[in-house]
Amino acid sequence: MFVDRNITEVTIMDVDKKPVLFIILAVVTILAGTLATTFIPLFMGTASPSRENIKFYTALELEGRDIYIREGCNNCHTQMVRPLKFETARYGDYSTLADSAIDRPHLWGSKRTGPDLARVGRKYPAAWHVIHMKSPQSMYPKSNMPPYAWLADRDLNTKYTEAKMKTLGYPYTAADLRALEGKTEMDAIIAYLLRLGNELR
Amino acid sequence: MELKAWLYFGFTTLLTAVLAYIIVYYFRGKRKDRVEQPKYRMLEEDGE
Amino acid sequence: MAQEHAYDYRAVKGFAISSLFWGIVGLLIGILISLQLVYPQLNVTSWLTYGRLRPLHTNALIFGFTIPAAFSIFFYLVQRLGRTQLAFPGLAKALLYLFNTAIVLAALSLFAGMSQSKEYSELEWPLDLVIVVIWVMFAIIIIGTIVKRKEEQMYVSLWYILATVVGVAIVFIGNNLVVPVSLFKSYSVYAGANDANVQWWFGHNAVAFVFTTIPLAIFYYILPKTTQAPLYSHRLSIIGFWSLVFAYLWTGAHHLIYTPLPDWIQTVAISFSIFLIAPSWASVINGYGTMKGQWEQMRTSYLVKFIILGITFYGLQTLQGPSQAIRAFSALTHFTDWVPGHVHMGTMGWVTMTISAGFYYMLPRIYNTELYSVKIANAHFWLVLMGQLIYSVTMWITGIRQGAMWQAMEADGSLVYSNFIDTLTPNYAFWNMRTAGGIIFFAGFLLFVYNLYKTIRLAPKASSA
Repeated sequence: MFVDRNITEVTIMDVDKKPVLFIILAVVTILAGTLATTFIPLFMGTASPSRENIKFYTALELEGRDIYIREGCNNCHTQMVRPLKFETARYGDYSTLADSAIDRPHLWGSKRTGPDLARVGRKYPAAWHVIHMKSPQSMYPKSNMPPYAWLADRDLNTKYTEAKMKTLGYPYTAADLRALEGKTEMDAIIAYLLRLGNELR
Repeated sequence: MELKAWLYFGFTTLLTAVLAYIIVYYFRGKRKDRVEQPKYRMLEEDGE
Repeated sequence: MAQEHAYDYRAVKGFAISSLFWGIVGLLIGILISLQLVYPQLNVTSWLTYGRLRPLHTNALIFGFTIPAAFSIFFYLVQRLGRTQLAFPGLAKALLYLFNTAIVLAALSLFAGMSQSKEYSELEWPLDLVIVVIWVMFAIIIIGTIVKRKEEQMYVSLWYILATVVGVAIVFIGNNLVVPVSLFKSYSVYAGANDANVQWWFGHNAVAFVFTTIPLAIFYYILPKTTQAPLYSHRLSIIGFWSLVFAYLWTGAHHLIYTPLPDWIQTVAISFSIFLIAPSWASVINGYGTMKGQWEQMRTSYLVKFIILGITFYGLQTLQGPSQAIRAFSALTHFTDWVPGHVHMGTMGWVTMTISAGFYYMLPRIYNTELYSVKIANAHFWLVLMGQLIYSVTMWITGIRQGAMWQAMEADGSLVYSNFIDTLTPNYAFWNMRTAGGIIFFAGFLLFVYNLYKTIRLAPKASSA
């Protein structure tokens, strides 16, 4: 261990001799950018909009969303229409803060191997989705989307649905939960897809 | 200019000043040996 | 000075072997998902669909390959640069077993579809807690060794090691604040745009404190030691280090250009991304400067080839990154193959080459032996280089082409390629080339592992503890 012979000589600029001081300085340096761009904006209204006109997810839609997460759909699909002409022409009006205001976690995505889904709820009916999910190749022969026919064979696990709705603070009734009986995972994912683009009341 | 512009200007100037101080401090002649010394020490044989 | 303390390399060896093993697993999954993108029939059973395998690829190579490589080489560096023995060797042994157990559990959880959906942070909350414990153990060993060092002044590699310890801890915890609903499911505490902002603050700083500070710590040690030439300028690395660590934390939002995230956060991220060129190139200049008058070694030494190509890819990476962060370019390339092209030049080029140099330098020394075959090492170099270039170049071609096709509009404002599938199918030929690049890279990596295996196998048994 080092005993610093004369304390006056050792200043903050000799931090390469003082690991503990170095660590503190590194943490402060890291926290500067963290506070400014990430922590403080959490409490500024601009990044978390008002929630009055937002429709909360129904129990079935939420379970469908969790299947979307479980199957990693966000690895190929985005939910983010950018305010650029060629995007709004292709997908519909651009995404706003309100569209994802209650999404925990967000599913904006970062890669479009498949098309953007932010407005897909306005584009295709449930029947279209059933055929497409079971065999994307039956509709688009050259599609590289994996087939998810097996979702129709799996009953929806609703053991944690109530706990989920409570955790997220989404309103629900006992009737909503009862309505989940007999639903399959395919019903749930399609309910979620039909909601995308119809977030507002 | 309103407050936001002054804040932005002040922050940038502060950053530049801190960076300038660090550069001048470490690149001043009299401190050269002390700061460059580790790169020679790490080359010296340190036993297998 | 009598050598009263022999260095303790048990954990160093254990993590090196773990890193190479999980590296092979991660690369195999990479090749499989690359094939799945062209041949969807390869998506068999729910466990092996692309959606679940892609996070496995990223987590296996970040947490399974890069992190143990860092543990291994850092446990070596803190001893050599501190001229002292590893602190808490018992803790290091426990860490090795806990780490490998956690990786197996992580892999199984991802196969089963347990995911928080946030990229490079998909593992569910119980595993997050295990990772925090692992990181605390790692921090205790590193800081414990550095504090009892015999060498007063810390060389630049130790700064980058400390930055890694501190940086990963902060960003990992910040991004994994969740509310558990069950043992296998949790929801982020943040919502919508906030969640995205925190995610990419984590995402880009996982790049900073895993894919930048770890290879830099290795690079700054291996280059001077291999060439026996002093580092070009230690003072320059002071400036480079502090401005790098400061600036990186501002840049996360360049992953969110043209999203509803407030514009000022995006603009700050873009400007600091451009600023980052300076500190990054401080290390590149340090690399090239050190080679002054001895570029001949590029021809004679495979190790110098790995280091210099590694830092060159780092230089290219840190020019390409800022350029694609600019709004005009992001509008074209965001969401396209351009981005994985950029990512893999960094990971396959900069990170893997520098870690390979670290292992090539360190393992023969800690086993008191010579490398098994220099010829194989050179073959490994050329295969890895070719595989990487094929991968990235094909991705940049498809990225620009598909981005342009998405943008193509007729005079009347209608889309030229209104069917998305028409912009996708031309990629398949290039994606097959990408798979070929990945296989060539994997062949090189196998040669690497074989070479090290033979080196260890033929090492004299009375090697140090």
